[in-house]
Amino acid sequence: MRNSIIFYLNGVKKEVSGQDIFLPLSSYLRYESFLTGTKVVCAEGDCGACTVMLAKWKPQDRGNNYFSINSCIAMTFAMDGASLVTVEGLAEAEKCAEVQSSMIRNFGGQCGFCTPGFIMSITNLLEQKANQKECATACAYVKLNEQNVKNYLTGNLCRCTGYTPIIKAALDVDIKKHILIKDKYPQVDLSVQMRSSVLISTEAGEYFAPTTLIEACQYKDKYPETILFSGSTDLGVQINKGYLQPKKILSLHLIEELYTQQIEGTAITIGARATLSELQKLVQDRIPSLDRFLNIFASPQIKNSATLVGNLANASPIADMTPVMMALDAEVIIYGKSGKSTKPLKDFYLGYKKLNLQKDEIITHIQFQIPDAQQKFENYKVSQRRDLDISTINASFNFSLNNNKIKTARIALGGVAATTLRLADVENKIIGAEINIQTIESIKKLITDAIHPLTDARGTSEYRTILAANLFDKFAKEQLGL
Amino acid sequence: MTSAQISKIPHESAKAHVTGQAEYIDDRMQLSNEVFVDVYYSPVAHGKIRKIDYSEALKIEGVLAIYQARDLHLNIWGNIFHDQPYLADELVQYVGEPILIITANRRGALLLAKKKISIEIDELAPILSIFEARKHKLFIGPERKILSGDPEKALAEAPHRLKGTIKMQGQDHFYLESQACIAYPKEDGQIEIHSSSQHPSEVQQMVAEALGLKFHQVVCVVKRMGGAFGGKESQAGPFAVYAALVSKKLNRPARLILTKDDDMMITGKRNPFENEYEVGFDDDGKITALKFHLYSDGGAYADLSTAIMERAMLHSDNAYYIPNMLVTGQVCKTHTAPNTAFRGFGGPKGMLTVENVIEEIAIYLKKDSFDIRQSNTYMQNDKTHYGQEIKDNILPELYQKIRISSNYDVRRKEISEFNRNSKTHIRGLAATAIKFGISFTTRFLNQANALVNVFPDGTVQVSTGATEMGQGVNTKIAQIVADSFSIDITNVRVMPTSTEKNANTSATAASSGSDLNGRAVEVACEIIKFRLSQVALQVLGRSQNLRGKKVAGSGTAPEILIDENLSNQNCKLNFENNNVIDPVSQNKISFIDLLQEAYLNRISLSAYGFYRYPGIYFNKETGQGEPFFYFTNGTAVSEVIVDRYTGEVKVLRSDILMDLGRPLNKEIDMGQVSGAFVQGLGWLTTENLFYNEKGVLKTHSPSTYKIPSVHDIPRIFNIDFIENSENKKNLKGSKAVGEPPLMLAISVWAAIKNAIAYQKINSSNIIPKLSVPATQEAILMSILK
Repeated sequence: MRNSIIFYLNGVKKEVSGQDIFLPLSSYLRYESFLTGTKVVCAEGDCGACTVMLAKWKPQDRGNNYFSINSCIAMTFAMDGASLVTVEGLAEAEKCAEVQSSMIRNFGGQCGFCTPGFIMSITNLLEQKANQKECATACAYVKLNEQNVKNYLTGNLCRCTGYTPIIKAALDVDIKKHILIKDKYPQVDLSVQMRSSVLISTEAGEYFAPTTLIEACQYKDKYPETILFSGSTDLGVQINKGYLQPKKILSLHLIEELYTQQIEGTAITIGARATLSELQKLVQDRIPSLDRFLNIFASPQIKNSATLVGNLANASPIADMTPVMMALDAEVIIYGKSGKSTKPLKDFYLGYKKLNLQKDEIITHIQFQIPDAQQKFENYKVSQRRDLDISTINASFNFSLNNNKIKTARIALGGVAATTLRLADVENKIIGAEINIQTIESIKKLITDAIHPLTDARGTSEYRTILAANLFDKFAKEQLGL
Repeated sequence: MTSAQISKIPHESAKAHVTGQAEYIDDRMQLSNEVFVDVYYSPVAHGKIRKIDYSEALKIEGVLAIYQARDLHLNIWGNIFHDQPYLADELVQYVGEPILIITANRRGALLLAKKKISIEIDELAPILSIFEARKHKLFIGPERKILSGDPEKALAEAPHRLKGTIKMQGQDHFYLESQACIAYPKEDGQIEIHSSSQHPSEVQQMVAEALGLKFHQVVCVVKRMGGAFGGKESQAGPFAVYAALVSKKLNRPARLILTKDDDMMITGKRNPFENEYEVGFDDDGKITALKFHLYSDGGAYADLSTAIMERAMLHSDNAYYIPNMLVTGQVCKTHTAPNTAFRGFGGPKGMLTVENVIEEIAIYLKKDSFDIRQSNTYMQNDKTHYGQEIKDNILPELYQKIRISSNYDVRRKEISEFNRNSKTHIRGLAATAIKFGISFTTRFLNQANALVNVFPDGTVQVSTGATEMGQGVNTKIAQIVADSFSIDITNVRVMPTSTEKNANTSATAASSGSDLNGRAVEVACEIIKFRLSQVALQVLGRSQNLRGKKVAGSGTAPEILIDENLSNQNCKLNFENNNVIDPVSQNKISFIDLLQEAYLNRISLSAYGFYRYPGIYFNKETGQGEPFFYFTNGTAVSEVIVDRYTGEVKVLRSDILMDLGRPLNKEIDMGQVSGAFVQGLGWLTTENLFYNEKGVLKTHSPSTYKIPSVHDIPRIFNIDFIENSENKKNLKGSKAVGEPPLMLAISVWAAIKNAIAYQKINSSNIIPKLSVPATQEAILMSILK
């Protein structure tokens, strides 16, 4: 057993133990490592000023895949086994990296506070493009277009430039001069060290990272206050804002089987450690509507950290993956002291942020079927801003028709009640109905009768009610051939 | 035109920005005895403090002390009215009003300590809207009035009349670097403040007054800000006072870095406005009479709200000549954070009101709003409602040109066709213009000074009162110096703004930073050049072996004497390519050799320059005068598409055409235009400040407060400047750029209104109501109702 975490920072090995492991990564970088190029603005993963590049520890494939994360909501302990690069790691002595030079010559920085974060996000874009093409060198990239660039910059806010010069800078990077992070800082193999579990106990709290599921269950059973940490894209926010001071932290990153991303026939199984970016890669050619939806889910930084299981287990009524998975009839695979069990996701939420889960149990995987060609499956989200925003409401519809009559129907809505709702009663009532304007109007009525949304900063109850009906209307027009 | 106006000069901090080396307040190295400071603020909008108990907070490990109002020497401030306490004592007047200052020797203790403070407040009914404030006659300052012609008579005689009210919400600045400062105690009771402030002189004065020091005991230094946008004009001051208080009490450096949430809770925002309008016009849409009653929400204290109202009133005509006009303005007091300067000041609120009126006239007359705008646009020598004559007028040309360059008329037809056919979406198109007055409307603020130090190796350090917040003022100042001496820009360093070098300065605000400070720099450079020219003439007349380098030590040649009286400036040598040339003899000496000669002959290589805008005045009582030195003009055409199901909006295209004279740095100015436009877009669309019924702001971080993101900018975004324009009045023919383009985003809002109007062609009430921000909820409701 280890009593410290190990990682590489800009190519330098770090071993950290004691209270420092509980710091948000950005604080560790800024105040313990004096790397102040990484900025903190919101401390909640919404602005990207804190963006750094990370190659995570992964058991099967040795990694060396760098991607961007928000260091403000990442926890230092989560760096175990990883390799980390900050804005200070890009330039060589006095010579700027190409992304930096391009930002200079395109006037990409004004006040400069968001600039390091954008530099890292553009670096991430180039890194991912190189990975997509599975090429070892930078020169084989596809040509970037404006849409690519924008999709990779949704996690960074700039208040000065109006983004135009930053987009220009990204498009103007001379690929021949760009050095990939994975070439400059190849991830060091820490698999020997990662074979032993970690326990760090301090006055402030305890961190435990076992190597087997049963140890994890026993720990969770013994200490009911245990909180499971993975991407911490929500827990990190709660800690930063003073809502949460975890005393027992459990990390599953050393448990190999939780990294599963598997397709067997039409069944997809996703492990608890798999991120939403990994999910998107897996489904992009198989479930196009989910792929499109994941484009407007959070930001690259968040998707690179957050897991599908985390998004579902957080049990937020406006979690964007919950209606999607409900409309796909997903199942939750659970591991406890008594072994493995399975529950349908639609019965998994007992109330606001309340799960149907015993204190020893851990969600290990999510399983769902790829929709077949007959299924009309579409996901919607309305938010005040299109990108990186929490939904006012979200909705997933999965219908199949037979002779213009509804054969199967799955309707899931978020942001309209204390939990995400699967409208089973509505579904049952409409089976067999013929698709016409009257049917659609009556379904809209059934939907609005079934929900009781709140008024808050993201919209009034009235607006949410109208939206729920209108989104179905839109689905009917777009997918049901109305 | 200068060399810098031709070639691309990057932002002077660009390399530091991209490498992460650029130092902001919280990046300053922490000293070993440094302490951390935080603010405990009122959870209640209006009430009397009965009891505060922080004994439990003091028990948190690391907490050193907690201070309150009585610890300050003077607990009142205000730029225009002295009405705001630094720390609330008996009465709290908004949620977020600072009450206690906490200090600890570790960061982590502050949040824990704040949670342990208990406060009992006898709650009083809060006033939370302009409507309620008007009902209770809760006002700040007197009502102001500007009158031209006879609007009552003209209204009565007008063939058509419309009236209504338009509501605009506030906007948070959302500078990325939240309010931040560090106070360092110095010997003999002095204090040095490093602040993220647009106004170091005011910080110096506020700290001195609040702590009972004299001005000369306080120095305020500003290296750069991570954005400001007006939010650090007056409101950086109190935080400097809090840090200074702690540093004075403990005799230790004190660092105060607000979180974004606390910053948004404590600091004021763009003033909300509710404006009543009544317009009279003829069959062609020509406006004959206009009456505006502007009401703004000042928040709990005056801050700059009366000056903001004044600018709103002065921009209620925007680009249009209105022969009979009445504008009144009244700031209302509410129990919300004291609102403050924000890019555009009052301008956007005046301009939007009249642009809305024009959209409504167009809908009413079923005419294209572009025609209405062109028929009302100012012509040369027209007089504004406050009596200033319009000179060098480019507005008609701007409108004509953009109508063609944006392909407006073809697109109008396409959009009308689209809207007839689409079941799912509606599109809208609109053009708007700006005429933004340049200068502080309060005359005495229009002054600036600069210090230029030249070193014998040919390098220059320049300091001014201008503060760098990303707008590129330091780059422009470096260009002016490099140009003046004809040296490479790498030989010029712009030094941190500091009150010990540049005293009694104004805020870097009102878009005037480069104008005023740049001119002061020019003056200082001219003084040095005048001296150097005289030295050069004499040196060039001497043989090589009598040059200073040879004889200064031995004292074998007479010292060069010069005339210091600038008004005798009769010798002018040419400074070209690092050389100084006598135009008569064509003899030349290198700049560096000349500097050494000057130094050895005891000629000062430093100078102080001073500048003020000439000939401006405005009488606030009569509402008449010539408040503006000149105007910055521009036009924009925007097209939007609205989703009928959700109210979601996309900006498909925006074209911008501006007159910036000869831009000092075209790329920097381009960035100012795109940045300001997108910031304006945020105010007008997605940025929604949501308060609960108790006056608590619920949108205090970017998870709920949505500034535009990268996909929200116009899909097609064309920015262009009028070529071959020159503003003869101003620095090197340039025009101020900082604020004006923000108001071009009104074209997007007008296009949304236009889109909704298409939907209502057949309804009984054809004029849609749309407020600011036009959130998708507001849009959907406007479509449905």
